[in-house]
Amino acid sequence: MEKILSSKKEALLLGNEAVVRGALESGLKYAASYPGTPASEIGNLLAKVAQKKKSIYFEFGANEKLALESAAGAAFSGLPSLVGIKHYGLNVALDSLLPLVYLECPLVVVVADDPGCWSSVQTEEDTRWISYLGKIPTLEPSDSQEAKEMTKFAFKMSRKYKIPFLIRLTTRVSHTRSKVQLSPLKDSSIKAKFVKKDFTIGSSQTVHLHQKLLEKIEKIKKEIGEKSFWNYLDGDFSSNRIGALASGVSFFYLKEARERLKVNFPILKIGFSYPFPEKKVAEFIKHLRTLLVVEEIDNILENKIREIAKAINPNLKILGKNVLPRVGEMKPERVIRELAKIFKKKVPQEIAFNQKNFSKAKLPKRLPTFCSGCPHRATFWAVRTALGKKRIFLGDIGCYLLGALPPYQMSDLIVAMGAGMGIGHGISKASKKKPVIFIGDSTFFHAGLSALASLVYNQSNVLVIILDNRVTAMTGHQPHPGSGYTARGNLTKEIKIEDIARAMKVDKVEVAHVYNFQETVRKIKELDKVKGVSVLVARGECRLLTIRKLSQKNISLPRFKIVKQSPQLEKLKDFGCPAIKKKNNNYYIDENFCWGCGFCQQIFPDKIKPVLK
Amino acid sequence: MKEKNKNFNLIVAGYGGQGVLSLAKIIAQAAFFSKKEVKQAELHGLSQRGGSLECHLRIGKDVFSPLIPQGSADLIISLELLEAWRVCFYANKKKTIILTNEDIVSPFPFQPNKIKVNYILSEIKKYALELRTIKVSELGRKVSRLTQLTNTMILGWTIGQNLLPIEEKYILKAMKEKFGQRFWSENKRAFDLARKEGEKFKEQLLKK
Amino acid sequence: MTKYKIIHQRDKCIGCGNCVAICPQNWEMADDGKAEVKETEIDTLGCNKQAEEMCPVGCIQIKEIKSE
Repeated sequence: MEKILSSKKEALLLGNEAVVRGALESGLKYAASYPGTPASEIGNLLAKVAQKKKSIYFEFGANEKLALESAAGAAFSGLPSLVGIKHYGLNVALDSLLPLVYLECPLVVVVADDPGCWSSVQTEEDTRWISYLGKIPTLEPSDSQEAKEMTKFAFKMSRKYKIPFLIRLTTRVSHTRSKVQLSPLKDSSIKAKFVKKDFTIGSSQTVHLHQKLLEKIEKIKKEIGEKSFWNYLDGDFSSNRIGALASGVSFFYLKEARERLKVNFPILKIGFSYPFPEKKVAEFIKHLRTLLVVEEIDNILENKIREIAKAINPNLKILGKNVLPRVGEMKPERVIRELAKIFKKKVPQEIAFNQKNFSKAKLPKRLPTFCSGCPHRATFWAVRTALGKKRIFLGDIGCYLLGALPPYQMSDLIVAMGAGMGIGHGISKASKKKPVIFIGDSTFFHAGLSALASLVYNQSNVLVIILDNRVTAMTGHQPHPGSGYTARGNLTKEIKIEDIARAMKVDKVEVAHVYNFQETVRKIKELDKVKGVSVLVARGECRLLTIRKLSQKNISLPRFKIVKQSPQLEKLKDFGCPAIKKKNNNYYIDENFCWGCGFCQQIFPDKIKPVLK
Repeated sequence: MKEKNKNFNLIVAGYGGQGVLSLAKIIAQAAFFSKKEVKQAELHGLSQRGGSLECHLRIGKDVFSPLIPQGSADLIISLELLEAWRVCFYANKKKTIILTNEDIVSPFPFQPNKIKVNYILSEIKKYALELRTIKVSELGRKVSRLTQLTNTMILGWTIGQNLLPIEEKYILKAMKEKFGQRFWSENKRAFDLARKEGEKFKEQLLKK
Repeated sequence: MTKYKIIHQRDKCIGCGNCVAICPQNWEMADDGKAEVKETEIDTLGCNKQAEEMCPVGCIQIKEIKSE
């Protein structure tokens, strides 16, 4: 954290960290977020900064729409404001973001896409379409230095032109560390003030604002887009009349390939990608014979180029997603192979060799799983014990989504934040079956409140299991409205999920301590008998969080030991705790992995005992 | 003759929870302290819940791609044997030295790994100029909290063999910064124990 | 003078040993495999508060009692 507030000249920063530094160098006063990888560090870091510096405000909204709205309110009140979220989060916030562009909100919106879906399960989405949908000026950094500088540029320009500016990161920019030159932090002394203006609504007003926006975008294109130093030429034109164009991290894959193959061609780097700098690109492609476009994920730049090439260079051979992969993250070797083809050069030996042989390696996949002692494992085991595996299960987004993977495989669908509730409801109405819906505590506050109201109102027949591990765990243990403390560490009202369920007139609500196996199974069975909406608040603190808290107090929990061997212990294979192992038909608990939750002891009380010092 | 890369390309591999990210960050920070240019790519979140994890580190002048291209690693350091095999995608028989912990952790909770160690080693050798292994569980038998210290020991072993283009003093500075006062002494002990082992290993190689 | 009363619902206890690990001064494992509190009425909370927080099944409760 010290690095972010450092007064040194340079630091090694992740792209996400560089964004925060850029915001602080711009005099940031207000920021909001909802956790979501690959953007999570933006919020985490801002929370720490706001804890230290009382002049900067930061909060986690219940969801991204609320985070965006919160930052927008501050922006309307004159404060330099920022919201940092992941791409799906922008979808959630979109309903508010689009009109904010019309309404001239000077907000900096930082979004992180996840090509290849390293930490995302819904789709492989390219946020840049939203730039076009919303007509939002967009910057695409290629590394940490650009992430910082573009953030600063965004603050200046959003204020000057009174329009949100979008900074679009991807995983390999957000989560890559590189050297960043630092400038002094700016302590803004701006006092917030919401200035009342004449405001009106109506269809003609909206249409009028739309027209004004189109004119503003043209103005931005003319005054800064076309001249922008963020769009620049790297390298020289060559008699081969080959050129390349890229945005984001793909730019560096082209540079890598150019050096590797020892070939010569210019690269037009696009950093300010919306509004699209038509003139600059036209200048570039005018005299080329072949153009390679490299971008993640969709062929957005490529299609714009195809449009303009029709008029100015119809014979230009444009290579893009017709030769490079349309899905998955862009990889440097892919670009090297494509350029080798274009330049009719041999693919470097190391890439050719591996490509042939590596795919034949029979390596077992290593899938993620619940941590040792995870309360979700206890919950899934209890549900499995009480109801079996043949029920219809709806999963959702959070650590508990791992229940979809072996050995549990108790998710028939996972769609989007909170969608399990609505879809489960639809299934119950259509098929007359009672689905079991899993939803986490943070997900519940994110999207589950209106969902629960809708289900009760529409007389659904579902069993909802709300997994309350007290925090937003998967993304780094951020607090939420049920945690009892804010992002800055202040105590606040702790909203109890069971109170909400009762207030919403759910037919039956129970709370269970998930580590209490018998209690949880009994309650699940009772709730399942209910015709209507029943809710189990399955409560158990995230084990990782518990262990961290205890280790700070130098307390270590007892490990557990298998004291009696039996073929019945084979059942633990389906339990899936990484601490429980088998060697030569001997079952044992690896003390290096055991986190002392004692749940396995409840499955086999006579065979497993705690080892107390 | 070993081809020289412009950059020093290092892959650090293991699975989520082993401290792969901490190890990569320490090396990156050490490179930064020594005034070298460095780019280090990693992943957060889902992959850390026990899934496969690989970090890319590139040190030298004018680093472009944050990801190391296929077959272009100079050195691969792995905290687990199956993961070492997995990242052979980045290895090259003409230039890559692969250092790995020989310990295997089964990718399936509960089920023991059925693939023979010798088979895995022979597969990895196909991609390596040199394969050097150490069984951290044996070396660290007297070390408490060995699971948490595996990454430190692998780092010490690597430094003992002088395989990183970074002076040890910067590595130690980066380690101190990462671990803080609380965990420094136990990490230093584990590091020194493994470093000695690495130095011994290097001497034996030179004798051959 | 304010004292504290510890209520331990042994029927709910799962014998995980967490309370004993966190607060050995006042908690120990009994022969039936469940935890047992040594002193139920105490002057100062000490580690008992942590034991209450850490009990995974919530069978430990600490109440304040005021004596005349």
